[in-house]
Amino acid sequence: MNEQEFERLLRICRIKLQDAEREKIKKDIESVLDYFDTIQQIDTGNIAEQYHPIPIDQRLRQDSESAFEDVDLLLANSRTHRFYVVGPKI
Amino acid sequence: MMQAIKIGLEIHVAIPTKTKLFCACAAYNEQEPNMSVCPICMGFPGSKPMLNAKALEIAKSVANALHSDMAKTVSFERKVYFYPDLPKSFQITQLSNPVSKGGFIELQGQNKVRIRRIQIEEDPAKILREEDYSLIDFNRSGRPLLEIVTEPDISGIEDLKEFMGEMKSILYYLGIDINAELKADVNISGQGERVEVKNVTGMKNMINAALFEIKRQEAARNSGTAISKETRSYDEAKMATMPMREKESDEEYGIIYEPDLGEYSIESIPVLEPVYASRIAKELAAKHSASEKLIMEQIMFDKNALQLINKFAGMYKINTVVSAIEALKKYNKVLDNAKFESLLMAISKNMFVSGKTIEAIEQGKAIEAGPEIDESLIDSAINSMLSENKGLLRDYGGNPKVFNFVIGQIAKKYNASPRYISTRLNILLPKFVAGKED
Amino acid sequence: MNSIEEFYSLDKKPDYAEAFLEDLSELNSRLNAFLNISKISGQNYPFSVKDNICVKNVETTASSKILRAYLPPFNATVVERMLSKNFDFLGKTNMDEFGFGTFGLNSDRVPRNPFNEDYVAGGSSSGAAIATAVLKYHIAIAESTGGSISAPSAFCGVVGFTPTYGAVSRHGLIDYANSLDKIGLMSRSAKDIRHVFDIIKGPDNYDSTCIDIGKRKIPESETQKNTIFLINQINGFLDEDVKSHFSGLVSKLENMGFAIKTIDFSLLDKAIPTYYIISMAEASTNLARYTGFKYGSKNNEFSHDYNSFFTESRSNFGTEAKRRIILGTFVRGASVKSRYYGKALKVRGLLISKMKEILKQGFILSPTMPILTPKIEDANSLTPMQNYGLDILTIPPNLSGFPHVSFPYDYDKGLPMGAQLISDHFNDYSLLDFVENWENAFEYKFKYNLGSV
Repeated sequence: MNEQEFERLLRICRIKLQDAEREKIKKDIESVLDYFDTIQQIDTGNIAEQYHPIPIDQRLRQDSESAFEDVDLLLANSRTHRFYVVGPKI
Repeated sequence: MMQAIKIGLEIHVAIPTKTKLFCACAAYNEQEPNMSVCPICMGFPGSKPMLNAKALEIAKSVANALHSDMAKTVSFERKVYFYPDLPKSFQITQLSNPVSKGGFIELQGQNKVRIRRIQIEEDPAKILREEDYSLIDFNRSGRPLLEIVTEPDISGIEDLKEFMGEMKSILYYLGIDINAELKADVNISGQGERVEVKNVTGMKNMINAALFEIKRQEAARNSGTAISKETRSYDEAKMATMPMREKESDEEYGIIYEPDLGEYSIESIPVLEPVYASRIAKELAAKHSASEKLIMEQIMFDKNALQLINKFAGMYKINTVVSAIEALKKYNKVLDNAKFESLLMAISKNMFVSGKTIEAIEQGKAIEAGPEIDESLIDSAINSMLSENKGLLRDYGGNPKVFNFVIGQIAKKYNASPRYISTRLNILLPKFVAGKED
Repeated sequence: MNSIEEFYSLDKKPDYAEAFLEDLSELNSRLNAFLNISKISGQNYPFSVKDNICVKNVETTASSKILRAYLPPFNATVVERMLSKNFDFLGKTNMDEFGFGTFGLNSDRVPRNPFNEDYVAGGSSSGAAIATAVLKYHIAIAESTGGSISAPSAFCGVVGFTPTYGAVSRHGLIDYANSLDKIGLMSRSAKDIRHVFDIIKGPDNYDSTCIDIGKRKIPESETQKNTIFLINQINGFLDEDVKSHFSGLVSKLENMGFAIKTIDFSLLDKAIPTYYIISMAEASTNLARYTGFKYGSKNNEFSHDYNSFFTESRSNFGTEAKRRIILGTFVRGASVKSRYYGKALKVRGLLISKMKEILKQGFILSPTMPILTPKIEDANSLTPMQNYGLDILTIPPNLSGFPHVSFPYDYDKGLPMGAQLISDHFNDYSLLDFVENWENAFEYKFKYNLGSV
């Protein structure tokens, strides 16, 4: 992976690396990716992608309202202003 | 020479469920901010989505109405991007296994606008921009949305208007609130690359965005500049499309299967029968030799009108039924079928219908069947009014509204229907004008 | 009698709870099993909760700085169910940040092995295992994604049970990888686990992937229950010491009447990259929500453009978390997705079907870990790749969602050694039967027994 690609990757996941750790982490990642490449050798034939290890039941929820009881506790975790949650500038 | 315009749309429509897509919070409420919220729609750690069955039902009905090929099972995916209004920093949406693929809406003259796909996804929160921060209201977060994607088969502004009219009518008859903001991404290409105008709200803006973009692309072509594939936004105030910030288009969604949900079979879900109002209008117009446009105007977004016209079209003239419907609207009344028929009878007798008339019908009283209209009486009234008011003829200039007061006066005096008087006026006016040429 | 029944039959002094909490607090200051300890009454049987499982109004951080001060507004389903059966919440247990680790060392407070404090406790459910190893009357709610119940259980000499994927509701579990995370239990005996498993398992409206294992269980044959398979390929990965201890176990089991068979499973080591690709891909999406303003550590620089704000906030992740987020983001990128994420999902399918062929005929048994318990300083010097490689024995059942249990079977220079038994999907109780049987023949040793009278 070249510098540009790595930089773009970091931007995509909103992660910044300090100079000290950056080189090391980049190397770590490259060797792990080489390791990941070894699964290419496996013959998976016609097998489908398996998203869960077991079949999941089809569970649907009926469309009836049930208010969450502890909205205060929920919002207490954020900074709020006139009932809005405060967030970064857009 | 005008290049062929190709417009495609990605329309977002709110699905009218009581609760949100993945949690039991009320979906629609005009309350204070952050009242209808829970750990799920606020993306709190440890929360998991629970799929609303009703959303699947409604989505399937829409897909059915658009002749779309239904999936046997649907599943969901995560689309990752970072914005303060997106609580989990990913949106749960559908990509590989949407509700349906294909389909179409028929326009006049055999034009078909093909549907590419229909999918369900969740709405982000509402975000307000302040100078040094933003304010976020999660009441909206998690509402179920239907995304309808068309092929670029819309070939111009007129088509766009007609398509949206048809779409909104079909959605209306499936119980979807078309007065709520309809958001769309509008994709426009002349012969060059496709330009995507994102997040346009409402019909008026969609049309203006398309108009601006078509002109912009044509100007570029004429000056020899190539149109590059890009994403733009629409500025309502300027009525113009603008280039979007570059970093937003560099986003990488990194889509994966949504592992907190499974696959859902929609085969046995019942659908609501669709209503194609424009088709019905065409049929009724042909059958009863009436104006298709007149009928369409009434029934496209009014199921009450549709029911009444369907019932009474055979027995009374369409114009009469329409007059009756309009009268009810004007005086904000509702009548049952029997009483409505009394109103129809009154109108077909050219009776002038006032608010009092309708009240009388409502109360089951006998309405004064005024004397049969003496046509010659009306004609001479018209003639004398026109003679006395030469100014009117001068102001006429092809605008019939100028005569509304004439009509109103005569209608009141003789208790006659304005429509009738207007008809007579249209016949007499040319003769009068001709007569005046001396 | 299980420990719970025993506990309720005890004649406790009036200052039982006070003394108990004092002892625990003192020991905890060295071993770092608990991140916080609740003042229990001593009347009810205590349970601890791994710090990635939400307890209402109790700081829950998944051992991450980025969730410091997060107070969940709700209890995880498993916690609700325990409280409704009158168990007392004892505290949140230490772990590797978000579950990322095999030795417990990705935590601000280093967890230490109670048998020898210079040695690791294992991870990622390090605190749960330590607590179980030092407390006489206690059960730990823990969690496993790639082996996070088995590994620390083996190093700390306790029984660690990881049920079939989906058996226990994940509602309230702070996600590492949703198709791999399983809530499980640690205790000093299979009897206790059986009792509590009955309480916590079963469908939950708040988790769409939670199933009823009872409805899906296929009856086993007698042969199946008495046959144990050893996978040949494992030998190439084991330390000599581990090999020799383990062969002792195999002999014992033979004498107990089990049919021991060897079998090939060439795909064994391919489970590791497969597991890490899937788990990192899912984890990188699960951790995207931590952006510093809704919960946890708050960034107050709201006037910074939102992208800068997010990036600043996310510097609160530890190094391993950053690595996994970056790798996970990469493997699901559009241009390479089918090579990594897509391919790994197919390999998962293949592995499950191959393992199922074996498990239909009997259990699979192996040492839980390929090495003896490492010293903390030695474990700290391992590279990421070396770390990942040591999961070779715990990853295959975790990736495939097969229920498995790690149980103590020997001691090496005072440090416990664990073996791991795997069964087919939905055969969870057979594992508990096996361990209960084993416990009739083998007595577990503990250095501490806090709470005993």
